[in-house]
Amino acid sequence: MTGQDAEAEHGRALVSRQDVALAIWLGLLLPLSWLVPPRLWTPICSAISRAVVRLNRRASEARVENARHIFGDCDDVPTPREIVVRSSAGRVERQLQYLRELRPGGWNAHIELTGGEHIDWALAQEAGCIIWVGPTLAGYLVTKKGLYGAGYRVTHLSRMDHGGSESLLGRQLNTIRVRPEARYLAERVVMGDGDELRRTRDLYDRLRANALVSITAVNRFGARMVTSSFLGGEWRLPTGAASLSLATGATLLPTIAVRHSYDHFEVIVEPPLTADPSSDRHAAVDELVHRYVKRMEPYAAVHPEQYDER
Amino acid sequence: MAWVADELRALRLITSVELVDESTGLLGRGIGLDSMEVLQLVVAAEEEFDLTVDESQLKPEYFRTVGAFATFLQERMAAS
Repeated sequence: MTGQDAEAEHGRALVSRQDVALAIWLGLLLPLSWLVPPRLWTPICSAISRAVVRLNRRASEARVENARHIFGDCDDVPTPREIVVRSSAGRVERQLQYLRELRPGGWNAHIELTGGEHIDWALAQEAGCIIWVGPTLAGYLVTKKGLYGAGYRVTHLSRMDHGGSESLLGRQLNTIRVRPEARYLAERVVMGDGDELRRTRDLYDRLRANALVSITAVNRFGARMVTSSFLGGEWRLPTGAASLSLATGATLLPTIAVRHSYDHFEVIVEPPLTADPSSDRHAAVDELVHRYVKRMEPYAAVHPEQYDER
Repeated sequence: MAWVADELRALRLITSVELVDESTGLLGRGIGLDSMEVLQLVVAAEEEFDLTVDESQLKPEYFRTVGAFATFLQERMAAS
């Protein structure tokens, strides 16, 4: 541990109220995930979700409003409130999947990979390949399992806190997500505060060595962000994946994981995204981000409850 | 300073070297480089000036302006 790390560790809170709530919640879900067969999870998660949405009315209303904003103009989608309820149920089910992964024998589901030929083509170009994963509820564990099951070994860009609490307990809880995912990865490149350049160099080097790198399209972190119109709303995305692709020549593949049933998922790899190589660099990056969002739109419109909005 | 401006143009981050001077910001509301673009600039400098830069030693102030980055490079060259 360097002096800087020790200082950061010293300044970090031991525990937050959010951690305690999460620890209790996961403690309640653990027996459910280990003892109840996954085919029974869907109705249980739905019941839990309806209760949580009713109890947590204030936060839920904000999410309902957000869903109305984004999906309001889409045809054949459930009501905004139903989208929020189903989305919350999907989140609980995802937690059950992670917890089940910790049980001997793990969590088993049929995960098909569509569009693997795009990865094969990209790797044959020998300039690396970036899997740019859409933020669906299945986008995290399922994508990694699906790619691993199809024989791909992926280097995944991750955050130190995995998007959760940075307290010491928060980091321990984070291992519940990290450990199952790590089984299906060749490597995790973990970006913490202050070492972005070093980790960017790691990814740059991996791609130059023709590695397969996955980056999840989350709207929280990035030195430069681009806003695209997304259905009835907006989606603000960091430019990292697009910029990395332009810098290295790596093929950029939009990818999305869709849930068909409790034990059937599909990881869909779309054809490569390209931008005009002669254009201004930032214009090219922005164009890639806009094109990415356009590729994600049809999936979100068909499966609004699976879009992991935050 | 001239090399930094030329490299920014080579990377298509600016359309003309006339658009930058020493006080032009590299990050944020300046040219607005992201971490990949900063890294490319560092890698290009390593190749051009036969330097080795440890990213953990890099500080944001080195990239505040074109002039600050040029000064950083000069210091690294003098030290090597």
